[in-house]
Amino acid sequence: MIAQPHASTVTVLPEIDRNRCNGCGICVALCPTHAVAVRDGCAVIVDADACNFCPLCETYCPQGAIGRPFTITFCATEGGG
Amino acid sequence: MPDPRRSKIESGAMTIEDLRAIPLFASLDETTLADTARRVHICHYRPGQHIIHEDQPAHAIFFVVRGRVRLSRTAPDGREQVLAMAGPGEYFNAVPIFDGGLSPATARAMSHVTCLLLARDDLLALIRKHPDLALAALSDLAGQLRELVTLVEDLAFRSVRARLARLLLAEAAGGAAEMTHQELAERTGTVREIAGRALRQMAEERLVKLERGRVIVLDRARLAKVAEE
Ligand code: SF4
Ligand code: SF4
Repeated sequence: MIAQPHASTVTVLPEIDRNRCNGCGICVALCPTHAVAVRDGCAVIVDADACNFCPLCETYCPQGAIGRPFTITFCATEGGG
Repeated sequence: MPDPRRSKIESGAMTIEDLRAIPLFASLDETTLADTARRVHICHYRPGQHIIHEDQPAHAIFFVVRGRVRLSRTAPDGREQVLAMAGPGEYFNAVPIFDGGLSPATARAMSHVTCLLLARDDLLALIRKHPDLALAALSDLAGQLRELVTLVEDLAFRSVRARLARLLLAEAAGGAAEMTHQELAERTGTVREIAGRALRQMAEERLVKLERGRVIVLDRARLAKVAEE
């Protein structure tokens, strides 16, 4: 496999808003890779390598507490697509 | 044991130079700045932490030194509408300082935030001694009112798609601030599902490209047209 140079080498992980999360565990039940768990009443990413950034936890969290963060940028070669 | 959800508050560690970096204070003389420096409190907040709750009594004005603060209103069904974002040098919670009412908006830290807190009485005393401050504050408030008028116009007359396009262009231009779909929905005055659908449609039209952790604006000109729809 050819290694593709990539702008971001750091793996982006879902972010959990501790003020919103009530520890209901829905994200844990739905996560296909067991990347998230509830600890001390709040969701945490326990297996960063496993998370495949699927939309499940974000889509079904009733509190809007877990979300996949992204940055918004202009394309370097804008216009070319 | 201190409550970990509370902010950390320090006092008296502010220098005159730190205060002068805040545009509202820039014109004050050394003596006044030194006096003000003794009166402000430095507060630190974690990402996601509430700084102010809407409809609560307000006793102070907050100046942002570091980080981003989101000002919003919450509907009875729990949806939040973002009213504005405040960054370094800007302030929030001025309205109740001047009209004596409750805080009109909830303020939450969007990153690690450092604020200077100045009590209402201290700010009013400062303004009485330095009327120029009142003019500067009026000019800032007028600017904030204009932004709110633009927001009302957007919410009343433009589609979610147009609001999303405007937001993407503004955020891309403003440097890479981190966001989630929840945040995107709150900023565009809708719910996550609808904002997500609008974003995916833009990706299908090759206006943007979605990658893990990144939304890349591919066609600024076409997106600007969408923003006017
Ligand atoms: S689904 Fe949401 S509220 Fe429930 S534990 Fe997960 S992050 Fe917390
Ligand atoms: S994004 Fe998907 S894989 Fe990652 S924690 Fe959420 S549900 Fe699990």
